[in-house]
Amino acid sequence: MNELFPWRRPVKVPLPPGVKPQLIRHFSIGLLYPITEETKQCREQAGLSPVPPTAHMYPEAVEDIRTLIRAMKVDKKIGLDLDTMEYRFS
Amino acid sequence: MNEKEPVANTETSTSRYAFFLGCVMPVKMPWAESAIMKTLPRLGVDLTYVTKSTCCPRAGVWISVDKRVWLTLASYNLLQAEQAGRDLMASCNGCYVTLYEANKLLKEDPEELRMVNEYLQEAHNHYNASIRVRHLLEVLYEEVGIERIKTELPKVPIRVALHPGCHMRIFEDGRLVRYFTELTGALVNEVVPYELEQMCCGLQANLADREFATYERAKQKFDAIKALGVDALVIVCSGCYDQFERGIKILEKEIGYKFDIPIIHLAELLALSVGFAPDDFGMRLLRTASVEPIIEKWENRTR
Repeated sequence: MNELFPWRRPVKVPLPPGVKPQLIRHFSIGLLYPITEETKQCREQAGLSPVPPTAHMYPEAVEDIRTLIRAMKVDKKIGLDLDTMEYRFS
Repeated sequence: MNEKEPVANTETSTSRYAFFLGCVMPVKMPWAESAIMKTLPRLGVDLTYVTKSTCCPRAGVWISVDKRVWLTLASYNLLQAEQAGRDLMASCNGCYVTLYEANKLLKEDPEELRMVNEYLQEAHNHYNASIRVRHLLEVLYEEVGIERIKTELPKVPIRVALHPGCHMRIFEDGRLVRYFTELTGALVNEVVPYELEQMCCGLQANLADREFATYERAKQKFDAIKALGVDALVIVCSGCYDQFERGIKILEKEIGYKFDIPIIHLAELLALSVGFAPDDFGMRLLRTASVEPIIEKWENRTR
């Protein structure tokens, strides 16, 4: 491929700076916000389970999301290493 | 529990929903989640959670980067409800638009559905696109029934302003905004309109320009709402709430600005009205401003 298209180079996908940490949280915990001890206490006082029945309670959902992202090769496209959660491009 | 027993569900439930929590509500708005999960069953809605749910995800971000991600990750959430044999219900306008639009596309385009299932198979999942995605407002207005809410439930004696949010205008006929306005009007003494009611909270702008989102959107809305002298700002969208909460913290820290009007969820009014006490659903917890004046007006009314 390089012989045919020697000018091709990896292209940086322009992610807004505000989005980058959100994607790390999305692919680390499945959601944009973690559950804190204060949150757990408040949820119990509100008559809810301390941990909501989302990916917070089901870590296998996070594994599924990472599997899907890898299958689509989106991690390569946006330059995010899903193992270290570090961006290739600053 | 309040001295008055909550309204009993006297009708056989035909509505079976799984409630999609999204990212914000379970962490920052336990009062809204609890009010919804406790109140809707009292009104005849068979309601459970969408379990294993993840970020909806944000269509505005992902469609611009890679449309496959939006469709596939949305399908992952949709299939959790499908596997439970339920339609999906959302309260956050952003989650609703993401999931509604993805579901509509997958129902209409077999090729897109096939593509999504190729990826889902990697995680041993499959989506048939057999369910509906409904907004909390549609469930309340059309299925519980606006007339029933108007005639059977007492009003909370407060004056409020509304923040519908941009994504509530998803349908050309504007029905979600009409449902929101009529439902709130049925549950309070007065809904006070204002010129900036339809203006954006600033959430999307916050990704690109925090100062603009805070000062030219959130603060402008806060200024307009403070001038009304209302008891509360009513919302249903968790995304908008997230932006308002963030804006309130930034404005207080940077310029000492205070927005002392509580931001409440429509479901909290419903919960009070059907007979739950404020502490039954955690009304006093994690608030941006005290809800005591609202509770006092409500309790004085019931004495």
